[in-house]
Amino acid sequence: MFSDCDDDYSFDDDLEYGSNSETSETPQIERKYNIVAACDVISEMNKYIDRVNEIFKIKRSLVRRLLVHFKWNPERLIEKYYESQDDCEGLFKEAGIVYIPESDESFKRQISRNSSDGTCLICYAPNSETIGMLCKHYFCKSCWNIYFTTQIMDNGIAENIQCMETDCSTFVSENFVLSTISGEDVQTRYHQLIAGSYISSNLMYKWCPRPGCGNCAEVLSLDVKHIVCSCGMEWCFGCGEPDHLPLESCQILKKWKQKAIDESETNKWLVINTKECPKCSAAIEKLGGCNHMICNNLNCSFEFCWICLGEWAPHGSEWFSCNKYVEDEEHVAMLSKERKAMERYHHYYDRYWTHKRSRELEQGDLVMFVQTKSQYIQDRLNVTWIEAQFLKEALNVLTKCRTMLQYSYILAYYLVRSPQTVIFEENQKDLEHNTELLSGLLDNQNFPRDEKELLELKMKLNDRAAYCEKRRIVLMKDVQSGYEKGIWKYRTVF
Amino acid sequence: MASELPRRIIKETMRLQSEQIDGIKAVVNESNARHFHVIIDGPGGSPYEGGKFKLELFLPEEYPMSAPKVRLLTKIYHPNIDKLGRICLDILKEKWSPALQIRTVLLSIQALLSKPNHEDPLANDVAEHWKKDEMGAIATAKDWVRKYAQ
Repeated sequence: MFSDCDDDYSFDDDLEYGSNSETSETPQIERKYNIVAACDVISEMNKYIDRVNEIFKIKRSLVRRLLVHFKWNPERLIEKYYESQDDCEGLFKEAGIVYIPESDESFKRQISRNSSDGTCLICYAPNSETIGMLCKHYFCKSCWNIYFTTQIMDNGIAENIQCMETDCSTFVSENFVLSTISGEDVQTRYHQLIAGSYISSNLMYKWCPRPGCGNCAEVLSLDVKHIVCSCGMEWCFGCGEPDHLPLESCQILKKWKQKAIDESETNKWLVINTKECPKCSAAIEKLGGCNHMICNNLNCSFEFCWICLGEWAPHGSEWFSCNKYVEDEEHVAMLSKERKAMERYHHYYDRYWTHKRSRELEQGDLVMFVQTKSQYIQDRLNVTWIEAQFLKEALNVLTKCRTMLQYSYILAYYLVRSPQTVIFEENQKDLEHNTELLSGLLDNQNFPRDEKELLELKMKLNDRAAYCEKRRIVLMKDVQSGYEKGIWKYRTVF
Repeated sequence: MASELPRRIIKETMRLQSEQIDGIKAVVNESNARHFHVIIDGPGGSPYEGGKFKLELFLPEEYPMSAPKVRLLTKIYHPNIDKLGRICLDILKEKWSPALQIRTVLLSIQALLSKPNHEDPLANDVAEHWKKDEMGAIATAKDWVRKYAQ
């Protein structure tokens, strides 16, 4: 299997995969993905197109349009091409391309036929030289330019720009756009958008989720999930979320997030305002009337007493009141079970949320504080920039630990208790405890006054950070060996 | 943004004045050349016959690259026009093309009055009414014409 590869995470829990624990210690030798910078995406894309174009040998932009139409699946395109017996025109028509076989110019210049005096019918400039495509809708170049610019800059459309004429669905060729638009920013944006459709319609590519990064990752197999972008962002290729190890499954993460939304206010309201039908458990809100309830669930229609939740029949004619005020033991048991489930959820959610929030705060305020401190010791204590980096390194460890703790609570919530989960919780506890200590050390408002104090701080921080990192790896290794051996059992079926 | 008025708008305004459209009167606002007061007569044979419907039409800075903004000022009982007078018409949104004009927009609105589009309702309650009880809905529409569109 994927031994010794740090970046492989399989979708299937039973699959074996290499340990990720050495990520921070050994450089990755064999990468299963490439990080491609935004400007390289286009040349990457063009190379790909050219490979497909060896069959067609037509203009690159036309092949791109065809590939976009076939969702970047060259096999399907080529199959279709052979099926249609090399009839390019049929293919182009299907993809909405106006194809001019005889000339390389995909648009023609000529005096407008739209009006007798050569007036462009968009801007009404008289005697303008108008241009258009094979669909024979001619307008002046300046109008086309403004139109393309609006589509690109305001509407974010590049691949599917259509002719300006009403109800004309002819797509405009790249050549036409590029020879018409003015301004470097428009050109750049146009290229970005074109590459964007290549990325988004290609399963093997995804943009780095860090805002403003612009890099994208190209995986060589869809099993690859853990991506470290050159911008430093660690993220999951499966769901495009920030890295969520030790929780491996994107599905569980999604479910957890959905639960967090569902459980919040709605759930509180339900607990306060409704009771469950004792037979079918449908949530029932009592809006008025007497205590004789008939469940609205047509498959149930159970008749019961609102007060004691017992069957209605024994209540007889005493429909106005229930004398069975002694609470039914079964009902109490049911209620407390519900409450316990909720308490359990809140236990994990609180911890998940605390670490998430702490990390966010630390990334804001603490980063600033650490920078100030770092600058201070450089200025006052005659320390070089490199020597002052220990603060930043400790902060990086802190962030990693917080992230791991955050997601470890989701995993903990869904795991069925077993001797292994006890070990897991011990590891989690140790990491949590030391992470808080590390956070406290970094947040310490006292600035070192002399070299001795600086040395002391450096030693303390380095030790604590090293310990945290070690514990983090221990936790991760433990969880991963659990995945490998199929130890973890989930409380819910996913 | 006191930019010079584009030739296109000047031409269109002139043409609106010189070549009147049947049942549509469009007058430019004297203090704002991008703002038009429009009156559309309820089309003959429709529930809106005999009514006079006031509209305002505004040409945004980006016109003709983006569509004019149109709003009905007269109350109307119509499945594609809501309480605020907003009109659900494809050419005012995703189907807008710079080759369309004020004239074509107004003609489209006139056509929408004579033939409501039940597939794409904006005022859901009105559309529902129309679907369930066409006669009743038409009666309400006529009633509103008498009340609000004289």
